Amino acid sequence: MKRVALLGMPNTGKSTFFNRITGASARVANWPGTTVDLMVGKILVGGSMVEVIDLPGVYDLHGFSDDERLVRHFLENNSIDLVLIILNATQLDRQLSLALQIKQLGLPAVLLLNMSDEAARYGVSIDIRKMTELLTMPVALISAKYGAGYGEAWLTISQSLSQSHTTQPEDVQTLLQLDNRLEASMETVLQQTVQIPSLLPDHLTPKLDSLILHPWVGLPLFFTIMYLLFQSVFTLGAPLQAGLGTILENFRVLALEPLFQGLPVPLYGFLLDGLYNGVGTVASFVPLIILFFLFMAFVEDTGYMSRAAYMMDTFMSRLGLDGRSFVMMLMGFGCNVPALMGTRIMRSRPLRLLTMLVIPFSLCSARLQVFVFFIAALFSQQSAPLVLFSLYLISFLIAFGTALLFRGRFTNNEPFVIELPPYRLPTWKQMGLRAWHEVHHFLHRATKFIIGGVVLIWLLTHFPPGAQPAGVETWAGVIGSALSPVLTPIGIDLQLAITLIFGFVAKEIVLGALAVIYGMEGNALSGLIAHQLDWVQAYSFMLFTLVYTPCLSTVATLYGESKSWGYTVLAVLWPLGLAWILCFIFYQTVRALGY
Amino acid sequence: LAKGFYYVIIRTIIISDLGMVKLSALKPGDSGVIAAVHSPEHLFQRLTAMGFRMGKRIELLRSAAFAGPLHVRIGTTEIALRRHVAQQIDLHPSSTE
Repeated sequence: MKRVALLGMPNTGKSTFFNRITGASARVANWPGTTVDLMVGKILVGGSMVEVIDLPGVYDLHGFSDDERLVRHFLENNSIDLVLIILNATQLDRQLSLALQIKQLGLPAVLLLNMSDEAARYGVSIDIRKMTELLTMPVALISAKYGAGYGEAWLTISQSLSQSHTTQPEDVQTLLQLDNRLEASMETVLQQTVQIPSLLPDHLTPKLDSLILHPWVGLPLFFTIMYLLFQSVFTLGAPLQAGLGTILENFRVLALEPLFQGLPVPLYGFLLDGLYNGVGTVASFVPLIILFFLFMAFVEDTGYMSRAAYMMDTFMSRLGLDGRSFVMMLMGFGCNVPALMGTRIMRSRPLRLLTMLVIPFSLCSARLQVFVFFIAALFSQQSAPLVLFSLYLISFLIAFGTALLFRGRFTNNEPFVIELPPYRLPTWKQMGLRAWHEVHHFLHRATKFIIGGVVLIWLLTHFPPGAQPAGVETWAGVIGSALSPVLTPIGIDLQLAITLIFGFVAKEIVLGALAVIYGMEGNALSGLIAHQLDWVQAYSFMLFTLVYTPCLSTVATLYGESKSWGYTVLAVLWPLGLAWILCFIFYQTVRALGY
Repeated sequence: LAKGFYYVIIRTIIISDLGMVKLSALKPGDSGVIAAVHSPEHLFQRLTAMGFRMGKRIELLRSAAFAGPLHVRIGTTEIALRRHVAQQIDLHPSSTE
């Protein structure tokens, strides 16, 4: 099968183009010489299947960023039949260098000038014939967003493919080492083929920027937008999640339970309470991820994300993070999983890892449920809001503290020099495909891990046979008792310890686990808990719940995104240790004060 | 030899006196022509690819409070960069307006 590599600078609509041509067929795959997964899709060109690989956006083949190295290694280790270079037609004055670098490597290439719609609007005129001649490379004008110019581009691509020779990776390797100045030839081509007005007649962007980046209005506006964003994700997401839950429950009661009736009890439990619940846990994230990335695509594709990064950079740079990290942290207050996946927009690995280390401290909506229940049970109406506020405050403080502590270990080598693209309105198709790809990504990477974890916790809380589920005789109870020398000093008793083991799967099931453990529900349960625990123990439990591993899906995502067990272990153990230390300090201090 | 030595010293004094204007010293709305980029190689490559080339006019659109990042425009591209990077970019002294 012939292989086509898609190459372009960031913000040229390369991914939009890729999504458009490959549709829903794209998958992630690993390639020789690269450590990162790349998207690959199969498409039909001129009667034969062709493999298209979406390389990350780069400014320069000779650059030193992670992505630039990745593209170089890809070209040095994989033979290809064609490079499709995507450049932004309105920014040819600086982007043409990439096409010339490819030409210099002797790679068969077709140059696609994207954003023909914007170029026309801004009065950029391009002499395609002359450019083809000077570059000795086919050139076509397209609009990936609106799908214009595809017919012609397609013809050019299939013609070039039929004539092209497969590259020799070794040759590319040698040529890449010869770094030559391209300035002169770039100027020649530009002067003869492109006319760009000195100032783009885009009146909207400066006007919007004077409001959006306003020293006083900008930040409040940013927080309002973020608030509305994750409010709407969860206002829309909660009923979808509930609906999905009902469907899965009905399927269980109406189809699976009768079907598995005759099976021995342990196998029945394993299939339904283990495997099937695992599937349900995975499924419960799907609506959230779809909604989250629909909105994220909107924020990113409009150009607002880079503005937010600009505004928050002053503060975040001191923590070793950048503005985009902050946006992801805020999104984490909704749900950590998509926020972790969203860090992929940061192209520097150390910066991503540091951001991913702090996101799980964001007090997500699942933890909020647990806190609301405990606060209502144990605190007066006057102190309740203060208690909740203190938890939010602690959430921010430990996130920032963790960043400060680990910024030396994950030193960001990527300079903060980012483009602020003009404001654009994304299309529904763009947003929909993004959401689809992210869900696919999540299912692909996390499903096995999450189901495995749910089954494990089910085993721990239901075995040995004969033990009352979630009781003290189960393995979870045994572990809880074994841990009592560690947990007693922070005020956590055996029942709560078992609850925390459940909570490792998902915070959504913590209340359900309590109900099973105490054999009560609703008001009766909160009454019993108010009777069994005092406020110091309850606060210590909430503090622990806030800080330790948010859920199994978060761990699965941490591993899926980092591809490093060492990092994943750190990202689990550090919060666990920190949770214990904080609870110890809190519990012992407050007890010493006589409460 | 001594003559040559003094020549170098005097030249150095003159040049530093002419004092290239750093990009970080511009006021919002000001612009200047890039004279030199004194960045480490990896950053230099990136800046060049983003359009920070000698002879190009660059305009400071705004700068964030508390020594935050700068928002600049070169030709048709708008870019946000941190202040310490802007300190590595010299503008022709006579070109600022």
